[in-house]
Amino acid sequence: MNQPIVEPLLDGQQDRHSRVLEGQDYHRLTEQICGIVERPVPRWWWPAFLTSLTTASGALFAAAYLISTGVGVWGENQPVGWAFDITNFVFWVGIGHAGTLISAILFLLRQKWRTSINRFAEAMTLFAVACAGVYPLIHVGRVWMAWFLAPVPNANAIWPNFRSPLLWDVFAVSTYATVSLLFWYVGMIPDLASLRDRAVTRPRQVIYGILALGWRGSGQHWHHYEIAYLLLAGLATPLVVSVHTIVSFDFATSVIPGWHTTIFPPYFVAGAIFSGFAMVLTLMIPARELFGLKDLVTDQHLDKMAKVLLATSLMVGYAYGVELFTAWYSVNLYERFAFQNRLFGPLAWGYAIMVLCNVAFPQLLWLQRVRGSVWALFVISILVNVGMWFERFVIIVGSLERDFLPSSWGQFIPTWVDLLQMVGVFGLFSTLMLLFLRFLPMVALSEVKATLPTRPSDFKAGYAVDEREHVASRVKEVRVS
Amino acid sequence: MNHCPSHQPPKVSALPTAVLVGKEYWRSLDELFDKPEYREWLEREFPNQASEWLGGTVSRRRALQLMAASLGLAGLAGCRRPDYPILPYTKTPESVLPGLPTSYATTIHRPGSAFPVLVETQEGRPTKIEGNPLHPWSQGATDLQAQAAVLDLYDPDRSREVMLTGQPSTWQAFDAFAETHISGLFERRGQGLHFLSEDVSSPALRLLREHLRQVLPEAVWHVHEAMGSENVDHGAALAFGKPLTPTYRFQNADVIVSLGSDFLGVEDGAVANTRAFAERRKVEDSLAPMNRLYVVENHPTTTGGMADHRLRLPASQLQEYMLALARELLSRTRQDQGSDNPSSKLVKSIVGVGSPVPLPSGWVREVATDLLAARGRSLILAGQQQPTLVHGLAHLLNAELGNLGNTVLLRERPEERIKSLGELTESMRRGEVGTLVVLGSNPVYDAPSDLEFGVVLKRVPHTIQLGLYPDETSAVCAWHLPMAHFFECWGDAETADGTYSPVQPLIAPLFGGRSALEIVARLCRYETTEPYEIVQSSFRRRTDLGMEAFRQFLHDGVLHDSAWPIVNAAPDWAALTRAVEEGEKRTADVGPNNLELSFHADRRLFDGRFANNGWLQETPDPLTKLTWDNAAILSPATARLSGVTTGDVLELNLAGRTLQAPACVLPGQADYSISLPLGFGRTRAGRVGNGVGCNPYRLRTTALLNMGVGVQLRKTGRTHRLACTQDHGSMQGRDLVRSLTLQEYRDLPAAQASAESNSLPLYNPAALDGQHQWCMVIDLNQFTGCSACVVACQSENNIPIVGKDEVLRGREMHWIRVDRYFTGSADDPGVAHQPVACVHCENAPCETVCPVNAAVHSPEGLNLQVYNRCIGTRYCANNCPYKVRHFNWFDYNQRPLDQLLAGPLAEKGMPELLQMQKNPDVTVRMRGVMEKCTYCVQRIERGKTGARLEAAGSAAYSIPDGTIVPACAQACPAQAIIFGDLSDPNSRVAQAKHRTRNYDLLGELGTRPRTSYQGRVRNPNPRLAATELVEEEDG
Amino acid sequence: MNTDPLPQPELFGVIASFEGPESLLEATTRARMAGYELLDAFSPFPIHGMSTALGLRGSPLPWMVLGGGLAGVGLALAGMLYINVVEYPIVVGGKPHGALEPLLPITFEVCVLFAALTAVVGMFFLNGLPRLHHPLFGLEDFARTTDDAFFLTIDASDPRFELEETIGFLEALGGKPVMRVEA
Repeated sequence: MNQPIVEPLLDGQQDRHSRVLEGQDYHRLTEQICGIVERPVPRWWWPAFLTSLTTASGALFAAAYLISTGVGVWGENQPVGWAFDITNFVFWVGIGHAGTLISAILFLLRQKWRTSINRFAEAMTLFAVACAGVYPLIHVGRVWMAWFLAPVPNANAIWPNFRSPLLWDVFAVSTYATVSLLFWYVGMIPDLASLRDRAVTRPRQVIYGILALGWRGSGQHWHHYEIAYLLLAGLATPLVVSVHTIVSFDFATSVIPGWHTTIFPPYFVAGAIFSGFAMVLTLMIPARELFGLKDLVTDQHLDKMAKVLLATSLMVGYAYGVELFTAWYSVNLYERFAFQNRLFGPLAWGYAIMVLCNVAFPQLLWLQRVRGSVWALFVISILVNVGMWFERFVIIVGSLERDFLPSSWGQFIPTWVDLLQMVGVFGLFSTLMLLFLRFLPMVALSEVKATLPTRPSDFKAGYAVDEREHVASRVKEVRVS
Repeated sequence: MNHCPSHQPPKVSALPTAVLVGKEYWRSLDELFDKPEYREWLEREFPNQASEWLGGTVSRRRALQLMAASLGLAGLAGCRRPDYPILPYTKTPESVLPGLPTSYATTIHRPGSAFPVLVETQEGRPTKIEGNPLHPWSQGATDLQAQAAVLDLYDPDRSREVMLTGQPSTWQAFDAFAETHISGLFERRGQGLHFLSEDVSSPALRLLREHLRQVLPEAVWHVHEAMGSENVDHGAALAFGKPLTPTYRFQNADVIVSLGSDFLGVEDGAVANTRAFAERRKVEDSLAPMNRLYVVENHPTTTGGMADHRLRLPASQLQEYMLALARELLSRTRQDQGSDNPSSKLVKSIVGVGSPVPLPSGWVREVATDLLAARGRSLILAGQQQPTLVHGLAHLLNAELGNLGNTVLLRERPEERIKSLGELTESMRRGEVGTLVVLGSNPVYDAPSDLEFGVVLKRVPHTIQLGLYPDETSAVCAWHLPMAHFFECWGDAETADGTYSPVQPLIAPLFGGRSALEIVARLCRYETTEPYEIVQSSFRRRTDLGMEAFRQFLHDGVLHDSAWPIVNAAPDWAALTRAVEEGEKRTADVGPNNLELSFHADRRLFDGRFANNGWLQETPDPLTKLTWDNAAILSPATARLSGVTTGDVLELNLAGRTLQAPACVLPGQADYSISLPLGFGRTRAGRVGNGVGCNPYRLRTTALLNMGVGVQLRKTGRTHRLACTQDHGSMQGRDLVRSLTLQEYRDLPAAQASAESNSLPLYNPAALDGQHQWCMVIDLNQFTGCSACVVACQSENNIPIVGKDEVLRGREMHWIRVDRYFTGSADDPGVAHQPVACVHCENAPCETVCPVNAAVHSPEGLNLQVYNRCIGTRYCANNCPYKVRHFNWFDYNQRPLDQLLAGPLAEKGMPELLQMQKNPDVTVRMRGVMEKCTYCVQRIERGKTGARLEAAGSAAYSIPDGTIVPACAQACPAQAIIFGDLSDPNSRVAQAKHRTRNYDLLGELGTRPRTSYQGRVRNPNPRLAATELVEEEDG
Repeated sequence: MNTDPLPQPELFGVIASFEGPESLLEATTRARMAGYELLDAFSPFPIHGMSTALGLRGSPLPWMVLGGGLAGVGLALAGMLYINVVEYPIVVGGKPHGALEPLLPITFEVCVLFAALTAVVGMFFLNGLPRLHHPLFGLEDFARTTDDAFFLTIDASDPRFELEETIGFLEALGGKPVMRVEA
């Protein structure tokens, strides 16, 4: 009775055949992804790496100079106490949102297409957060006392001030970094196991062996693993929203016109997703070219991400509009002036850049042709990064330059140290990215494998229906019998 | 306190050479004691104490007894035990308590006058200067320069060695030279001996001069002041036929007309004037009606800022206005009499001269009316630099209005024949000067340039200069002698009204300098060269009182009621009529094609004598807000006319002499009139003052001393970065400085007493349950913007200066700043000053955001900044609506200002000299730390401790209102700043808070600041206001 | 690789390789139906339904995570309130000492942090990881389990375990090859 049921399933030939998708099967997939790590480095890697490393050392030098000499080497002053430091901090934290968002939220939303890019995006998240973390650390006047921020009694037996948004930041960003790291690592364990099992040289066996923690891919492992992963995704989702909300509190809970704005939390979160996706595109487009992953990270992926970009751009644009309306509608002298100043003040050019790059240019993404063109996407994604940097700059510096008392208005002019620090941190970011590409699987193998179809009938737009549902149905039939 | 060094010349001169090796005066006591010559010097002078010292077993108490008030030189001065008692100014029995400051009364010389002060010494180090409450000239308040004087004492650039033609020499060498040289002069009865001094009003010096005339009748004494008061004396002489010194009683004046007189600003006696003037601006407290001030001037001054009506006139037209006013007044006072009376003659002559300059009609008619309405209660003032005739007419009109004896007092002072710098230069040219002794004066820098003093000086065979600094003049003189700072030597002084006060040494001469008295006494072989004795004899001479009185004199720092006798005098109509007729025919009218240039003393550096004082250099000018620079000030119209904007470097050409100066466009400046503050462009002032700004003296000549018409203005095309601390003068329609007219104020319903200050909080704030609740009230109606508070705060709280580059970046550290706003029209605005320090919000935005609890609140309502918790996130400063928090961007205290960017490579450590000035009760902040006004918490705590001690431990102690005074409030000449305990309903602050014009700055934010402001009340003349309005509409 | 010196090597169990996820799932189901208890299936990716097939009961992990989260909330709130109200009350910006509002963000973050840590640590604990060595690693082909191989093991300690019979059973299920695994 069960014969007919089992029959087709036992036909190995058909299975073997059916497991092939667009020339893709489990083994070739493994080869492709692990190969990147195992083959000798491509010719371009070393130059790229050394350049990044040199740039990064620039940041190191700038920071050393800053710490040994005083914050005065930056262009900050009265009244502009924060400028490039916090601008870049918010910029990087924002970028750091895409990864967890793609991994967690899209995972919960069962967006299969995420599997090709989530590992990459998570890595980017971690490195972005690392870069962000640099600034709050070095921007303080007495770095050697930065540990006063930790939730322990300081040298004078005084605890930190838990009411300060800056301390909320410390907790939010460090929690976010930790959870993202866990999420990333846990997701990587099965793939690390693949690398371990394929490793030929002793060091690789040892290192990957340790990193894989003895993963065996047993049904029991997968059982708890999937639940853990699901829970992590569930936890990361509110977390990712909370982080930029709290970052926005730095400004929203202050009294400075242009900072003290209730719309900031959603506005910042949207902005973060926006910039995050832009950065993923900026990095993914060259990466898939260089590593020949076009069949994994397909044009479909780019198209979907372009649409997310468009959506978030609209949210951000809406926020810009509402800001202005509220300022006008509030009939609050200071509020009104703050936004007049934003539009027509000394930093009007910055505001123009921000609106063009964040709202105007992304509108091109309505066009299928633009979404289809890799180059257009690449350019737009870079423009969005620029625009989002200026958004932060305009909000932070522009508002501080002219607040309540005209007598104490001032102007911020960056110094070479400001610029070197900023460029250098970009170098740090690319250094970390290159190391990741070199030594870790940049695509979530096990997840992609799980999404491969098993039967010709399952081909749909190059993608499978949920493999798991499919197998499940089979099992039910088995049960019934 | 030490005697002046000349007592035992060899030893004293041995001391500095032994000590003054190395960068600073010494590195450590050990190093010092190891020097054999020093040990032997000790042995010789004080065997007993020396042995104690070298024995190394000296108890602190004993040490203090030894050292008396002069522990300052880290024990060294202790060995130089004072031979003469000077008396500490204390209410408690006189003694020195370790850890508690002691104040001594002394006096600072000013041109033709003096300024009485109390100097706070910390175990012998003078650290802080306050006004002398017992002296009418100060009444406890001080001005900018007096506050900054203590920094000069410790200036590392001060002259340290006797120099002979640029080579280091010694006092012995000079004394030897002097001996031989003088004997030669004595044979020639002083033939060819000339003295040049500043206008030092010191009876002791006068005493020596008299002696000089007896023993060396041929010797000549000259006096030079760049901003002297000759015109005042000549004016009085013209008006009354004899030189009388006018002093003013502003408290009696209902109507004041000032012609170019900055009597609340740079002019002598400004502190007393401000106090008296402010008395009549206290709308609530004083029963007398509020006064009304008319100011006619060409450049905005502190006084102009306080005016109820201000008329912008080119300096060259002030005389026109004076004539017009005189004509109007006289023709109305004497209209009943015939045409042959002196007054109508004068009027005729005035009409004869004619007044072609069109003056605003109301400004003559209405002002005259106002003056006539206030006969005997009005006052007409002419600026020190105004022409003689203007002074003469002012005296005449005051007499005519019956103000003499009421608002104007004429005093008769001993005459003395003193020659001028011009006469000196003449005799130098004629080669009559064999020996020139320059005492303190610096003519090579500040003499009129046509005298070419520097050049002529070279022709003098023997030149001796005594100076605090090796300056421009010492570069040309053969001998340069280090002068003792006035905190280092004995002397006496008289204020312009003749009130007599002592100069007491508070510390042994840091660099073994000598005072002018010693030098002169030595040169004219006076019976003693010991200044202390000279002062005593001059005291006896002036007062014929005994030693007990002398003790009291030293203790109080003033000889009460010792001003010159008041005399009555009638105006000399004929002389004035003649003066009007002979008055120089007016030059071509000032206009677009005929610009005028006027010079005035800088509000901070005065005539340049304070150029090396960093505090003053960095104090923003109250009007231009410039630091570290002077600039040619133009009105917006003039600027438009010549296409100039602030920062353009202009070349000014006056009568063939040229000067390049940066332009500064300032609303309120008279059109077509450019004014230049003097005192900058020093070449040998010291490391601080060298090459700062431009030197207007190069344009200044004997003929064009105070102003010249027909200056050529050319743009060089270059620009100069002016370090301005405030770029925006408009209030942007925000009610930051609130003001209303007297009438409006009187009509104000008492109900709306400071409405928004008690705005409802969203929650119940944490209780501030301290026994005291400190708060401050600042009365903008009395506040003149003189900025004494800024420097007072700086010296009390160890606030560093940051240098021009940092100011350009907007990083000045002043805890209290004076905001200047312009109101009204762009060309002819009113000026409003507002001092802003931390307002100590009860709901402080800065505290909430500090992640490390460095900004917290005290139960007594103080907003505290805890330095050792601060890590420098700067969030608090960002979130402060008042922007009163200041961040140490660099190690301003530890690194030289020109090496800030060198980081670890820069020299580290504060010069010991500067360390000596620091207030031991206040932390010196390091880099990376936020700082701000503390309400002078150290003074609060000292006050509380004192009160507790008096309460003898009983918990219920009380602090009488006014015993705790922050530095700013103590310095304020206008008493505009009141500090006190809000929880005491009878305190002055508590009272003031209930006035209807009390308001919180940005109170609508709900920050509940503890510092509140009292709105400005102006007292305009309704009729004049009307005419002005009409003219505005016409124009 | 089995290089056991002992003449009578101790047996871990038998292992059979299968073609793909379906056949593995099928085999597992069958083995369970045949009454085998101590089974385990190995695959390069999670196979939906395998947990049921292996008869694994629901994981306690969610409850552990909930506990971790609540612990975070409790610790954060209690700690901050104690410090603000009892240990060292400071007047900051006039805010009431016991105010809860400013404590919420940190409470939330700590909650998430603790929950996430519990999730990961808990998962490792339940999976007996890290365990760097395991008898199966001795098997050469087993390395492919993280690539494209699918295995089913039956423990020697399984009550129904009979070496020959079990091997036969697995081969019948289509396991090729079927091998014995020494401990």
